[in-house]
Amino acid sequence: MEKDSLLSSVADVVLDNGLKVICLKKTGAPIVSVQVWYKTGSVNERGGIHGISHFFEHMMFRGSKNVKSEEHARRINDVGGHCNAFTAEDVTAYLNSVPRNYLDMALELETDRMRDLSITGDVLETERKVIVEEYQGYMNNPLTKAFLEFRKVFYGDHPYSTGPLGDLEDIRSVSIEDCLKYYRTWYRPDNAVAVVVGDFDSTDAVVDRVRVTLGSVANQTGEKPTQDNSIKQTALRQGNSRMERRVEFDVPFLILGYPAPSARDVDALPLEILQVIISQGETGRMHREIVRRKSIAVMVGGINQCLKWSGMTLFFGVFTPDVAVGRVERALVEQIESIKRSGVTREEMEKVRNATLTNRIFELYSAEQICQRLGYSETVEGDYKNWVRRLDALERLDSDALVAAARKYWDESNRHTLYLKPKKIKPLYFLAGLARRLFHRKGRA
Amino acid sequence: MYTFPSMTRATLSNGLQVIWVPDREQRAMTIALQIPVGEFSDPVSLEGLTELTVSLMQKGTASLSSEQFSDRLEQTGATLFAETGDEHVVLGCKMLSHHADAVVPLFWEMACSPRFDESELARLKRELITALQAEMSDPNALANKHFFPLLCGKNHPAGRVHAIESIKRIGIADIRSFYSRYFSPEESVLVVAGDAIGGEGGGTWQSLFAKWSAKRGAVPCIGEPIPALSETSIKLVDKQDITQTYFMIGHPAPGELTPGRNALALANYILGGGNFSSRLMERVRSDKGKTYGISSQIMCNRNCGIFMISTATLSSQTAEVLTTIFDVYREFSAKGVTDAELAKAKEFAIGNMAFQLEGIGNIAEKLLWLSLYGRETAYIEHFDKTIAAIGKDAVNEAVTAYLSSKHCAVVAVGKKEEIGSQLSGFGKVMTVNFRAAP
Repeated sequence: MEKDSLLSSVADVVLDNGLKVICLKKTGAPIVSVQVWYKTGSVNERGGIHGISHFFEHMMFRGSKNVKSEEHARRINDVGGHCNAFTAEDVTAYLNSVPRNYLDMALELETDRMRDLSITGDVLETERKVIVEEYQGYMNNPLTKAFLEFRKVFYGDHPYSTGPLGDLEDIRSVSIEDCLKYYRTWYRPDNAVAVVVGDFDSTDAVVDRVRVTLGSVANQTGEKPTQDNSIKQTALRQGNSRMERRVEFDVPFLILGYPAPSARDVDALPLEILQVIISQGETGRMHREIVRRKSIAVMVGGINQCLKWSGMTLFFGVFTPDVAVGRVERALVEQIESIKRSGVTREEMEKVRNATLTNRIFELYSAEQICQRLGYSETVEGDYKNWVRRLDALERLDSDALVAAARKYWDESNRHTLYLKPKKIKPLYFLAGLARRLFHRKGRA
Repeated sequence: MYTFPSMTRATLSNGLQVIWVPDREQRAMTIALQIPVGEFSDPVSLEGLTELTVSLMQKGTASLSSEQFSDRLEQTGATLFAETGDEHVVLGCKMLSHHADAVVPLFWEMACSPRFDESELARLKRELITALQAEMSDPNALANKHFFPLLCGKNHPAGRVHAIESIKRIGIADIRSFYSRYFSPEESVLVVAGDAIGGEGGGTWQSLFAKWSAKRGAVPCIGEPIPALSETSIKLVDKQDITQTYFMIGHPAPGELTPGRNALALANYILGGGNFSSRLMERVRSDKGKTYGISSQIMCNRNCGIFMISTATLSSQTAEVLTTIFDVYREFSAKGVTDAELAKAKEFAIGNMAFQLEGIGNIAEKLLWLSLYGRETAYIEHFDKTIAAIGKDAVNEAVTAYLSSKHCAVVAVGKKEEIGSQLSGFGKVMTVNFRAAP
């Protein structure tokens, strides 16, 4: 497999204040991406403050000592750039992309809010309303609502059971003091990673600029925050569950969930590869068998969510109301079992290698995407080099390693099932589907 | 000033324009074919025909079944992409350059000799119908679906939207006939960008591209300007299980080829296109916290366009938010932009172009966009000077001409008991169930 020459130039340094800086010069377009990843997210929340990580992410745009409320976003926009942020279970990331001559501006804006955030009561209340609007937007989607309930069962008493969206009651009660405490605890340079990728003169010069900006922010008094041991100990749960919900959604939807390992675990990559083989593209096993050859479902797919401490592997099927859900479930499970029984073919391994290499190569065209990959890999997977070396790691995997991972995690005793059943089914649609199915069966006999 | 990578252009004997863009940044290649026909050419009652044609083209070729085709393609890691616009479609493929010799002929066979298998069509129709059913639970999708017919009327192609019934009516004969009528090299453009471009002018591939001999049987539909509204019309789409009102508000706008289009784009950035730098975002979100997001945009085709604002707010705030939106719009119409706002909007437009040209995918997309409107690369290369030269008077003239409509089409998706009376203060309200045809 070909190596990425560009990625061999990634440089990293830990500054005196503990901030880790990862830097890569990438020409091709006169732009630069600056991202700051804080190693905190909803996993660090407890009852009463579920949703504070996301709330706080909003407050980071509401002004700091030298930057007025929303001015960060405006200044980035006004030079042609864009900025955003997201809160996940383990991390909260702030993303800026600007024309290359505005690199200093982006660094200074991030420095100001890392050092001296301003939080006033009025602004907090206004932003609370914005967050409630965002929350309601998610909850008006019946799939999201049901999935959040499923997630609570899946993760049980682990903090991952409540996602970054949080709980509405907690969001309504978050105070300035809560925010300041959260800020002082987690938003420290020694708990953050700055990633800079783009078209700049030299890596050394950029590191110097980061040193005099973000590198000048002092840590608040006290030790670097550590996460509760219970987070790690209760990460990978055993057990299974079945959940059925009637929802305002016209299409039956079945989700199967299995526990997945930490993103730092050696099994994370085999499971990612298995997911490609099973559920991606027209040649994915599930699509080919369940949608195309057997016509049981209309759409199938899957996704792995490997978080810092554990995760979930999901497979789903979307089908018509005339198909029994049990049939869809058996069809999905059969594809999973077939991998466990017979492994994968040489052609499938070759396909995955080519698909992974293609994805990687096309990611390398974008400074922002590289930045995001490096930031995620460093903060969630534990080392950005995991991403850099992924192609080598893939090269070393064989069918046996994939089968071992499938057998280890995809066991019936650990399967969680969510069936979303439409509240209303049009009788005519049902009959039309049934007729089509009978005809289809006849035709194939 | 922006600089495109060096490129060569050729018009082949069959009329196809080919743009070769050698680029060594990565060991990859993108090929993208633009055909000047889109959804405006869907026959009445067969809405969705263009989309299904483009989807079905990707399911096998004359010599390969759908499974054989996807096996060959995906084995190399190559991925197809497609875009269905109102007046154009794009089919493309991203690939590793060392597989280009295998993938490019495969892609070309797909484009020129699609299989059009009836059983594949049946499957795609099920998929599309299921997606349309799923949209019934998405208030944003419902707002979209009802907005365009309300604004444009069903006599304009922009007012006709995909529906389950129209998808059901489409047969394999319709697809074959549509393809043979409109898909030909004439006025089509092919961009081949990346580091696998063999020899001067592409050699073997160019001969391959020249073999496409199809002739166009009809002229695709170009949308006429959308008639101005004679009154404000409000449609309440009743959905009982949601807690917010989802708005789409708008009126006709000029087409892409209208003089003053760039001045209008700057004006829209200031009004609602500029995210946190826009007036709508500042007033509705930043100052009042009444929404998670609000934006305005101008959707353009050659000769017609639509200005629209979209947002969502808690049901109880429906009237307050609508009032604020109209206040901001009217104030903008009456007073225009300030010097400071315009300076920032211009800096955004100039600075942002660098992002639009990052990587061969974006470059290919921009070249096709230029071709669609008959523009040369100089349009982009001198874009900064063009924007810098636009004065406040020109922008305010665009505001007066295009963003000062007395009437709007308003679609509000929400619970009728909670929002009906709030909307009635803004004009006559027509209420429909969310399952009603738009």
